Amino acid sequence: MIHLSLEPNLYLARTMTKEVWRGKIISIMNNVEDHESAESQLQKIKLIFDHMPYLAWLKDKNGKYITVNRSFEERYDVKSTEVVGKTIFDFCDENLAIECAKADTLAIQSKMPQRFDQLAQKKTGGTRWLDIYVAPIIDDQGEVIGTMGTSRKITKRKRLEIELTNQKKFLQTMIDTIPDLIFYKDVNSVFLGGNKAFVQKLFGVDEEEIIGKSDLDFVKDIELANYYREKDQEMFQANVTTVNEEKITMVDGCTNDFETLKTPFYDQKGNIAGLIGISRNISVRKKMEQQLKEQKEYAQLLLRIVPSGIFSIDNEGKITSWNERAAMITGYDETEAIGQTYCQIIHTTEDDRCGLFAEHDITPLTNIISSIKTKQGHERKILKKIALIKNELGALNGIIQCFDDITERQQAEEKLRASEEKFRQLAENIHEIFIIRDHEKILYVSPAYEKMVGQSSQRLLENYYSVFQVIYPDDRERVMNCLRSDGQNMDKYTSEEFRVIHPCGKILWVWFRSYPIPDISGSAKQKAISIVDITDRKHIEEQLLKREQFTQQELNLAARIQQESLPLPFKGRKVKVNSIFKPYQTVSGDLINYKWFEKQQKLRGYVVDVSGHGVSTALQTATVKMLLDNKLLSGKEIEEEDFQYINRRMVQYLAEESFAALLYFEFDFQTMILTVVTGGINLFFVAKPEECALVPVFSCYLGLLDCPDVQTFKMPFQSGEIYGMMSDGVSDLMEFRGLCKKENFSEYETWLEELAQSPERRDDFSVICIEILLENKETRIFHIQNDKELEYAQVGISEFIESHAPSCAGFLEVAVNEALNNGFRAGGRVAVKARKIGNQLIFRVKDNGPGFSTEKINTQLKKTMEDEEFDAEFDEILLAEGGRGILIMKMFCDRLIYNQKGNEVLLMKKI
Amino acid sequence: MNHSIKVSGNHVKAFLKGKVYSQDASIFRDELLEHIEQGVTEISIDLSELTYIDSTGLGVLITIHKRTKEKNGKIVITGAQGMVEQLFKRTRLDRVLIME
Repeated sequence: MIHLSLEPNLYLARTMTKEVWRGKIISIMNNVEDHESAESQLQKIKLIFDHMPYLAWLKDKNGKYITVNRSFEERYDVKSTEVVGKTIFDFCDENLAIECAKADTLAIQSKMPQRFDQLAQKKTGGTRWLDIYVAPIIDDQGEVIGTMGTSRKITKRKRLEIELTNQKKFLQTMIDTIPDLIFYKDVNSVFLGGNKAFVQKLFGVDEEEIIGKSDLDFVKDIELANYYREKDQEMFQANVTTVNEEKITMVDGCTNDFETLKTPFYDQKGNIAGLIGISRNISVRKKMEQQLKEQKEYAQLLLRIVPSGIFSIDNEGKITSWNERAAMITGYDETEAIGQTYCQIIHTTEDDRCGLFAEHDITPLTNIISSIKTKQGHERKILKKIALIKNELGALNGIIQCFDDITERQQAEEKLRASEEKFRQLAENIHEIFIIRDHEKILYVSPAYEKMVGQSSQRLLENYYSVFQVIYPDDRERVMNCLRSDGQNMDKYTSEEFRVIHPCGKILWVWFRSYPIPDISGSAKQKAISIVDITDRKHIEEQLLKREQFTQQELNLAARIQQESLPLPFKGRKVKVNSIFKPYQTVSGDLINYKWFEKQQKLRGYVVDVSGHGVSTALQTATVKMLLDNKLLSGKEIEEEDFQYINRRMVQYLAEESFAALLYFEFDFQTMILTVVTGGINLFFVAKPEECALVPVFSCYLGLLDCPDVQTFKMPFQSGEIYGMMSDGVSDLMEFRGLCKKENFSEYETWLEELAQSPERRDDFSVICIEILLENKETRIFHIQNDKELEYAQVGISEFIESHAPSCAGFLEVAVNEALNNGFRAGGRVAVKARKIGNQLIFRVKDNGPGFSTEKINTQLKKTMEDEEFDAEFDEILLAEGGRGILIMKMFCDRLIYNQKGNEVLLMKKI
Repeated sequence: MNHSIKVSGNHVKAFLKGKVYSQDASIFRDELLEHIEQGVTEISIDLSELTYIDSTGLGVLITIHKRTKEKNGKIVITGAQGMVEQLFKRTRLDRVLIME
């Protein structure tokens, strides 16, 4: 079986089937010995070959021709019979022959057809392009037995192809050279290609890599990719070229503004086949646009805020801009001015050739003063500047004019001139020396200098430091330093007093003062100096100083007396007292005192605050103190009537319009009750372990009314508490700065000391600090088992009762001893516990005896008995030698309780 | 307690000063009973300087009162004042004893 690896060309396909064609060829090859038959077959093939419009041949496997067609014969001007046994080298130029021989060899070796284009030399000169096709002929054993070939002239097509290729290359080169991003997409937004700028700068890939892909494959931001796609589709739907601005991030990470233009392209049928996109980087343009916008805004802002009138006019003399200040000066607002010629708005009052407006051909003007008339007809002086606006070619494009209203300034300058003249007149006629100097020299000296100092003004003008010669020697160095410093610091005020010696020998005190004179910029380049004769004032001051020193000595003495009159700190078993006494001005209008009454177990004291400060107040306070010591610290109980008495006396003692505030306190350690009576001092301080507070007690000042409202306040107190009895100078500061809880008495004292140093303090500061040390609890225990201990216990119990309940001591002692006697007799050993808790005395008497039945007696003891009932009970045992003890106990105690066993009894008595 | 007893025939004049506690009262009782045993029937007790007495002391006075009464004698209390006088009254003994 022979296989023909021919791909039948179009022509062969039209003339016979592949199988027929192959059969004929094989037949020729297999029957070469059957000459006639083969010749017949060959003729038939040739006939077919002859109908081919291009060259065709049949070769054996050695490359020798078997037959060729008519076109071949005509091309090479040979008969087909003449070509048999020849090779291609016999007909073609050498290059073509070599290439064809190579193709034969390759077709035979590979058993595959070969096709190539080849440039051939024409016999007549010139060249032509040939499309050469060579196919192996394979027999049934798979061996190649020959080749069949065709050659078509394709010179025209080839040239077109080359031209097309060149055009493509040109186009691609051109597109790749364009810096804009160029891309092509199909209707599904799939990339068909793009220029180098697009694929490399945007995606960092080669063009092949984007083909068939979309934005979604490259743009990381999915929303952005979808945005591109939406824009594509909008363009497709609109079927017009679209332009939009978008931000595109390049492969190097830079994001730039791009203007993207998308245009549809169409297929042969006129349908949209895709789009061509061109993106141009407009970042620089955008930046310039932004800068332009900002500059415009800046110019607008400047125009609005500058304190000068500014307007611009164009070449025709029409106003194109007009700021608010220009409107304020001229009276014409912006709407009236814009579009008008300048001479309609600005009316000059003189022959002002330049006017506010400059002719186009003149040079810019600066600082020209002229007059204008406002819309209201007022004349204003203006200072103007004119600037020319020129275009790139230097041609005048308009004018900007800037002007300031200097009417008031000119008026002020006129006034200044008048003032200076007035000053000169004044300076030359007053007794003070008046000097004006700058950094280096004296500019002016008033005539008074010669009179006061005895030197000529001219000498001072020539040498400022000549004044040192007349300065008193002791003051000279100080004044020299001062005047040098004054000259070096032109912006500082200087004041110095010193003495000068007049040529007549008289010593004068003078007061030198220098004042900086600021110029328009605010810096001082000149100084005004005034020198006044203060000799008389100095003498008076010296006298005053001596008097002040004397007064101060008196005050200090008074203050020392006040301090020495203060009570000493006190510390007893139950209470600790300290005081803080800080006069506001050397001596105080406050005074304090306190006293411990041991027998009464009471602390009494007072704080008095006489209105005003100073010596007179201190003297009044001292007088009041004597009254208060006598009345309040005599040991008697104090009532409001005592305050009324004190008030009546104060009315006599105190100067007119003076008054006093008074606070009296009494800590009763028997009842543990604090009594505070006030007249004008309305607050005292209480610090408990858990809190501290000011306690108000409202009342009236003393010394003003015949019968002021006095208040009495009572409250229980206990150990651990701290009290502050104080003048309003303390309580005001406490209220202003707030209370501050402290841990102990010492810390409160420190806090009060700090409070006294407050910058807000405006009054005398006096406070008595009281710490309650011992609770009103006292316990004594007696153990008795013999007569001696019994005697000791009886004495101890007597003392205990006497100290705590002196008013009922006798009967209570009898009651307790009744219990003690009973126990001692019953058991021989007795324990007595005597306690004072608050205002109650409690005695517990227990013996070691057998006790007795107490049920009946406890029932009786619970009953409250009247005197008659006691009488009846005692009457029943009138002649009995014993049995009165329990009745006496009940009679003299508030409560009496036996335990069940009867060997222990509790006696309670309120005191 | 500070006490003194002056005997004159069948008459005894006793002085009690300060405080008479139970143990003092017993001593005082024993001394007076001895004098009664020896024939004293008239007893006068001066309490003008006495500041304290309790039921034991009062009981002693009742004992003496009863014993002298048995001897047809009598006891007279003089000078009681203050708490002592009050105690006599509150215990109703002023109704039994002769108080002067």
